[in-house]
Order: sequence, then C-alpha cells, then structure tokens
Amino acid sequence: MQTLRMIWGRRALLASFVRRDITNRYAGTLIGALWALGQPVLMLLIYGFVFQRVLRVDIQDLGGHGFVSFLAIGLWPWMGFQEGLQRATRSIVQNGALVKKVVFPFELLVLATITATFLVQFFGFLVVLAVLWLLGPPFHAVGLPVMMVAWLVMALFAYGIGLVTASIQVVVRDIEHLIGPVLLLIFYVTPILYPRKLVPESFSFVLDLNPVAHLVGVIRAGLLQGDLSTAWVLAPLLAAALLMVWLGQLVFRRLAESFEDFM
Amino acid sequence: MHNVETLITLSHVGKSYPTARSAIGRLHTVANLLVRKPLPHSFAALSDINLEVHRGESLGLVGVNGAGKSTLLKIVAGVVRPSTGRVDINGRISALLELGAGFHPEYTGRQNVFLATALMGLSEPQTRERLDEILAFADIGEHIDQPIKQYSSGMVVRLGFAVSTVVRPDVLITDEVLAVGDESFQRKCIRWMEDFLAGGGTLLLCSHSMFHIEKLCQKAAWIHAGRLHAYGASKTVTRDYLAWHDARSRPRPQAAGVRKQGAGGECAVSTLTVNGVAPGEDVVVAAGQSLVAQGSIYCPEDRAPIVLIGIATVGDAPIYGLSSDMDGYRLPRLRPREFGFRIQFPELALLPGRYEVRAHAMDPEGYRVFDEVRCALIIEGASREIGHCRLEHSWGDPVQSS
Repeated sequence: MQTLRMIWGRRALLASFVRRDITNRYAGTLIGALWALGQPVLMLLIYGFVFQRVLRVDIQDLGGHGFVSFLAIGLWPWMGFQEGLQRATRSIVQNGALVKKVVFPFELLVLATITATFLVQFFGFLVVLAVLWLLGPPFHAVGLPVMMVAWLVMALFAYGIGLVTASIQVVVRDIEHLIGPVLLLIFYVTPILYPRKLVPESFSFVLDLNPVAHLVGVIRAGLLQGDLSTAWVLAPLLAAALLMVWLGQLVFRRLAESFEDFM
Repeated sequence: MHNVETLITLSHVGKSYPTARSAIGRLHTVANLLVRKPLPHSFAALSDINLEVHRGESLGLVGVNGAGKSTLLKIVAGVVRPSTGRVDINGRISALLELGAGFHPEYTGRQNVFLATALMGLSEPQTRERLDEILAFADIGEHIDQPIKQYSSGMVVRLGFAVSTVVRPDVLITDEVLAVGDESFQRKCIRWMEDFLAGGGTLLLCSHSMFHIEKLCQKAAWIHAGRLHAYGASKTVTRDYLAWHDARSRPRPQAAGVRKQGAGGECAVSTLTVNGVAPGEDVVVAAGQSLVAQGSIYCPEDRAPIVLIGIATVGDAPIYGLSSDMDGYRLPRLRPREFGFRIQFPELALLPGRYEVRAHAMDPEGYRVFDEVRCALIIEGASREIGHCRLEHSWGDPVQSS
C-alpha cells in the first residue's frame, strides 16, 4: 500500500523515466518510433517463413490456427519478460551517476525499465495480433481480457525478480552475464516453441512450477480456443507475483542502502 | 543560545567503504548486507563526526581533496547511509551534489528541466508554473530547445543551477557547485544564495573558495582525514585552514624557527626573539598591539652587518620587509663579531591570522643575504576585514563635483 502511494507520489518521475527509456530505444534511428511497429511485423514475417515454408511445422488442436499464431502468442509475452528482466538488471548500474548524486526511490528505475519494456512489447504484441487476425482465422475476443491480466502478472513477476537481480548486480556484476543463459534455459523448458503435449508426463511437474508456462498457456487457450477453463490460475499467479514483488523490494531496499559504496 | 532550531544533528557519524574484494568476498558482501551485518575490511572515509546545523546558521565545509567533505554531504543528503552514528534531520533538505545530474544528453534543455524537477519531486504542472523563472535564470536563449549534448559544459551548469532554484528547502546542500560557470554566472548564483539565506534558508556547502565560505556561512568545519579537525566561526576556521594549506604547499617545507645556518665564515643570525619568544614557539600577539624583535648577528669580518626583518604570510607572500640600512640604523657591536638589534612595530596593523617573522643576516655592504630564521606569529582577534593588514581609512559622504 505504502509502495503504491510512493509510486503515485512520484508518478511524474516514473513517467519521465519511462519516456526516457522508450525514446532512448529509438534515439538516432531513421524512422524512430515506427520501429515499434516495424520490428514485430518483420519478426513475424521471419517466423512465418521459417516455420511454415521451410520447416513446415504443423500442430493439431490449434482451433484452426497456424503454428505462427501459436508461436507468436507465446513468444511476445516471453520477450517482454526476458527483455524486461535483462534490462531491469542493468538499470541501477546504468544510472549510477544518478544513484550516486540524487536521492529518490531507486526502485523507480527498475519499475520504469520494466514498464517501458512491457509497453513496447505489448504494443508489438497488439500489432502482431492485429496482423494475424486480418490474415488468418479470427481469435476469440473472450480471451482478450485474460490475455491482458496475464501480461500484467508477467510484468509483476519480471519486476519482482528484476528488483533482486538489479540490486545484486550493483555488488556482483556477474548477474548480468548469468541472466542470459538462465533465461535461455527457462525459454526452452517453457512450452513456447512447442506445445505442452510434447512434454513427457514425468517432466510435467517442472511446467506446473513454471509461472511463465501457465501464463502462456492461459493466453493461448483464451485467444486460440476461447477456452477460459484454466483462467482461474491467474488468481494464484497474481498473488505469487505480488509476493515476488514484496520479496524483491525487501532485498532491494536492504542493498539500496549501500549502492553508493559499490558504484 | 535559546530558540535556535537545530536542523541537522550528526552524532558520532562514521562511514566506511568496503575495500576491493574477491568474487567470493563479494557474494559474502551481498549476504552480509541482506542480514544487515557490518562489512569487514573496510576503509574509513569518515569517523566520529559530531556537528549541528542550526536554522539561519549556514555551515561551510573545508578540507583538502579526499578529506571526506563530499561523503559527509552525501550522508546528510541521504545518498549515503552512515556506517556508524546517527543523522537527525529536521526540515526539508534539498541536495545539489552535482549540477545537471540526471540530465539526459539526447533530451532538449526543456525536456531535461522536466526530468530534473521530477527528480526533485515536483509534478509537471508545478514545473510548468515555474518554467519561465527557470529559463530566465538559466538565460541560455533558444538553446533550451536543443539537445543537451550540444551544450557547452557552462550551459549545462547554468541550466542545472537554474533548475535547482525552484525549490526552497530549509537546508540546501551544495558541493562545489560555485566553482563552475563563468564569473557573471557565479555572481548570479551567489546572489541567489544570499537571497535564499535572507529568506531564512540555511546552506550546507563545501567549497575550496574561502571567500565563498566566509561570505555565505557563519560557521565552518574543517574536515581532515575523515575527522572533524576544527569547527567554529567561518572566518577563524578558513583562516587557520588557509594558513595550514599555505604551509603545506610551500615548495620546501621548513618548520618555523628552524635555522638555515650559513657556511663557516659568513654572516648569520645568532639569536632572535620576537616579543621575548624564541623561534620554535608561536608568538601570539593581539591585533593592534606591538611587536618587538630583537637579536644579534654574527659577522666574521667584525664590521657592523645589516639585518633584514620581514613579515610574510605562511604561504611565503611577503607583507612587509625592511633592512636596517634603509633606515640608516647601524647595529651596535656587543662582543667581537656579534652585533645586536632591536626593532619595534607599535600598533601592528596585521589582521588576525597566522604569519611569520623572518630575520636575515646580510654582509656589511648589503650585497648578499646569508641566513634566515623564521618565527611563527599568530595575530589574535576578531575582525571581518579581508586581507592581511589594515590600511588607514575613513568613510564619508561623496563629495559633489560640479
């Protein structure tokens, strides 16, 4: 509650940081923010070519949708999570000059990075969704609210974990290098490139413990099949994500007291 | 001193920085921080600082680079948590540790103003309200709409200071910010700070300019090697600091009273006392009192030598000097090859501070200076005058010219 009040109190600063983060991405480019539109479309073209023309991957039970739809719906939330976490990890060290000289709640830097990344990726997701909707069989609109809640939960998880990694990164700079491989591992043990059915029974407990797997599953079921029967998992996942944020804040604040010592 | 509001209280404040650690050590550090255990093997940047800052009584910090001044400011500002001791703050504090901290090079000046004010806790409408004031202060014209990366460093500083003028805290902490910017802008900043002080604000500043400290602060604290070396009226502290600094930066350090003996057959100062005190001890004189130097000069030729007496700052800058032959004074012969002298300066015009009295022996013709004896001199007293000595003066209304 106090955290929310703090964030609301410093919303102008948060907005500034988010804006700075987003404009930074496209600073110095020719078409600027059009990349937010162009990049997902280009990636979609590549995936479509590779998986439908070259590899000719085909999966049953997709409610009439092709593999590219299946992939895109799982991949974009994942990209938000992965990129958000990676960038959040660096956010404190990168803003060292600020952290050393100005007093403000440093969590805002992590939060702004997560917010900016998820905004950009969510926008990309909407573009991809729109393109696929126009070109292929329609998605189930009933899945849209579920999809949005799932994105929010994903962002909260990324924020909670990001608070931990960003603060440890200040002291131990290895985190940044470690996080890439770890995320790659999580990517492959999460059914994003492949459907869950391909996972042997004996391994399915790994997926049950993997919040990203649940979130991707819920979004897919909703949008591809209009199936909301599993949507209830969003409630415990939201609780778990909030717990993660709380835990992350605990770690972050302890370490934040000594940030200046290690910059 | 009743009814004086204490804004900042530092009690036994110390700060240690962890020294470079191995990889395992760093992991250990994280664990220690998480359970709030103090870190071992650390370097003490500050120790046992006790200070109070009262409302309307600005404090200046002086000290050499690396003495811990900035760390102290950061502790008060809240950027750094002290390792030991307590900091009690009563009132609104705003810190200006670096002008333009948080500016983004790709942003225009105007956009950066909003970012910087947001950092200070202002909302967008609040900033918009004060935007004209900020732009007027920065006075950088149409550059305001160009990216900061194209600015000269002076322009960045102007904008940085301008932004910080919109907040009116109880205590404003500034770290060397007056050292940058051109002369006219510096004057503008000082004028602003004086306004701020006149409006009941209190400054906590760190500067290498003793002039600024004396002008803006009532009190000064001299931090040396992480400890509070001296605290008191800014005039006194800065004076002692300057004297110490001068003595330290002298090319060939030589303790007062140490005698540079001329080789065998040359003239030399045999004895010297200043107000009855021999070299090696401080001569303390109240401002405006008299100073008497007397002693004897050895001359191997047994002819009356010349004595040169001078008063200089600790930094070797001569203030006044003369030799006996200038006034036609002939040194009396005391013994074979020994000649005495005595010189009095009644109502010494030196301002309070540290000085040196020097005596040199010269050959009877006054061709060469052979010997030098120094004696530390402290002039005591309170004065707000600036410089080393008082010049006779009188004030009056201007005379109308036709």
